[in-house]
Amino acid sequence: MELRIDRVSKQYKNKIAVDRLSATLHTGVTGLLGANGAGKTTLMRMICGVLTPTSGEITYNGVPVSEECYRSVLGYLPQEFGCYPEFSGRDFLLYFAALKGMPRNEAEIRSEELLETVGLVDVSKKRVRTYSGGMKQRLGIAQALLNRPQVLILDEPTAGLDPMERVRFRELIGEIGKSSIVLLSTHIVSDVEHIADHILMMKGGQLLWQGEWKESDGSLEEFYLREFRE
Amino acid sequence: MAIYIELLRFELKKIFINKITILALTVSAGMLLGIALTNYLVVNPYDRGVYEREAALEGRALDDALLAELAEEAEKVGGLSGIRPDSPYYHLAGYISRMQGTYLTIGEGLESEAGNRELTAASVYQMREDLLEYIYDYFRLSDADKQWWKDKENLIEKPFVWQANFGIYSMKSSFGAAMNLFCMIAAVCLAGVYAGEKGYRTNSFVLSTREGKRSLWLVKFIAGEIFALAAGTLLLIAGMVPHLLFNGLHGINSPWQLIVPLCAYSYTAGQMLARYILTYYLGCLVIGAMAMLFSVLFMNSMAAAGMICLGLVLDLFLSLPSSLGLLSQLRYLTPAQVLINSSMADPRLLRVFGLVLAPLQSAGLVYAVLTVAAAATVRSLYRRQEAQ
Repeated sequence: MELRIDRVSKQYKNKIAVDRLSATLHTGVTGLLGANGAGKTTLMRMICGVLTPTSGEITYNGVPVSEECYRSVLGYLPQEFGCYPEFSGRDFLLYFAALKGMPRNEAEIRSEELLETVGLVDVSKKRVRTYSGGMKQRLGIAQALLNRPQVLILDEPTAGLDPMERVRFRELIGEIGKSSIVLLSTHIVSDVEHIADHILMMKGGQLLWQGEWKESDGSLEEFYLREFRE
Repeated sequence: MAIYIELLRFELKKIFINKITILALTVSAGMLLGIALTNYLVVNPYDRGVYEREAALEGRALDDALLAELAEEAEKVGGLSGIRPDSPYYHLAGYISRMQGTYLTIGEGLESEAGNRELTAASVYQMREDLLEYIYDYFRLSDADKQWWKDKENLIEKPFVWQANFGIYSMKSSFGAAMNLFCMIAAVCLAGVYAGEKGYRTNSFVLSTREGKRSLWLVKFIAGEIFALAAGTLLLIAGMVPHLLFNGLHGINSPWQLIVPLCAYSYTAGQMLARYILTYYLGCLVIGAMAMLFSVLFMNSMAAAGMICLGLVLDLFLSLPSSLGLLSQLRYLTPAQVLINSSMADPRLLRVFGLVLAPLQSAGLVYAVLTVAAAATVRSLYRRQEAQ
């Protein structure tokens, strides 16, 4: 499995959001760190095929991410998202399961499984507008995992989760990372420090640093702050 | 296929299970029902004996004998307008008066013995012919088009066979009101079909899925059109039920000329109502399609709704003279205009690939073409969408 990002740029009228960024992602968890406005969300949207790069190419196993077959193996959790207020949690998952092409029976079983995993079984029949921010976030995570994605893109996935939920989430992602490509962006360094095999650091649309990070390398947070100060 | 049905179910749920939709449909249907019922119960209280009183005139030819009786009745009370509702000639007098009123309004310079209001078969039918000729000239019909209408006129059985048809007349009138209210419903309920994904901030989710980019645009479009038909049906029933309750289908077999005097369609009232219903539903589909087109074009529900409302206002108030030819003809092909025309019908024809289409047919064809064009444009715009 290989997700190749090849000299990708995204330019708006008077701003370059992503500037000739290249990286290759393999099976495992990759942490994407960067300050607000670094270009993380723009990059992730291009990886998901919902935004077209101004230049460059992104491919998955040689197939451009604009192809339909790529979307069948993709799971995406955007940074800011809403839900259909009149849908129940269960409806929400079944709807997205249908959008991902999953047959109804399979969708029902998988939805129940994920509702259990994210702790929303008790409120699955309640309308999403009654959910708290954390519950909506967990529902979003469940949505991203519906089709057992080979490529999982998570943009600030732990926002709104309490500490215990964040720990559970990290364990879940760590498990998924054993067999899928996971790209996880966050401001919270500790979210990636223990589960990410590979780190990308972005600043001003460019890749500032990328590499493996092991516990023996010391504090990732200190390294991150040092790099960004320079 | 099962996946598309599942998606359709959820898209319909998004539209229907929405407080604004429920409120809009309830208020609109309630208004139509309420106005009609108020008319029957309070403003012009329904007279249960009307059909028994007018039974003697049912099935009679509108000829010299019947018109002589009408003239005698009118002379007793100082004219047609003096005939009271409890007279068996009341509705017949109303019919003749409508034609005479139109004649006096627009018939300046028309020369016929109808000008002196004689109630004879010759004068009444001549008055109608003069008015038809005037209308054909007013709308600048070519000689070929005039001849086409004259050939249709020759198919109409004369003298007309009188039937009390005020219930049918009222039902016909309810189409226009239902159509205008439907435009408001489309603005409120369908403007968010595509734009709502941006409003709900689900755009990124949806566009990253397989069907989100591929087929969802069509599922949404179909869901919107299903809603258009359902809402249109609700409004039509709300507008028609009171008339059906009080009058039933009395007059359904009367010649259409007793409902719209200045029209040369050789159909019965029932046959024309069926055509009106078809045109109404096609109108609902095209308005629904336009609302969804604006929705995906602007990706902003308010802007899309605003465009539909603007269209409604222009349709109500914009006047284009017949000298503008095809532009004027198309302007008056909007669903509300086609369904509203009261005592006279727009006679302009459309010639397409050798076929001659009368207004209702032209309207149907134009609506079908516009709906398909709107769908194609929606597809194109939707697939170019990006999550910004």
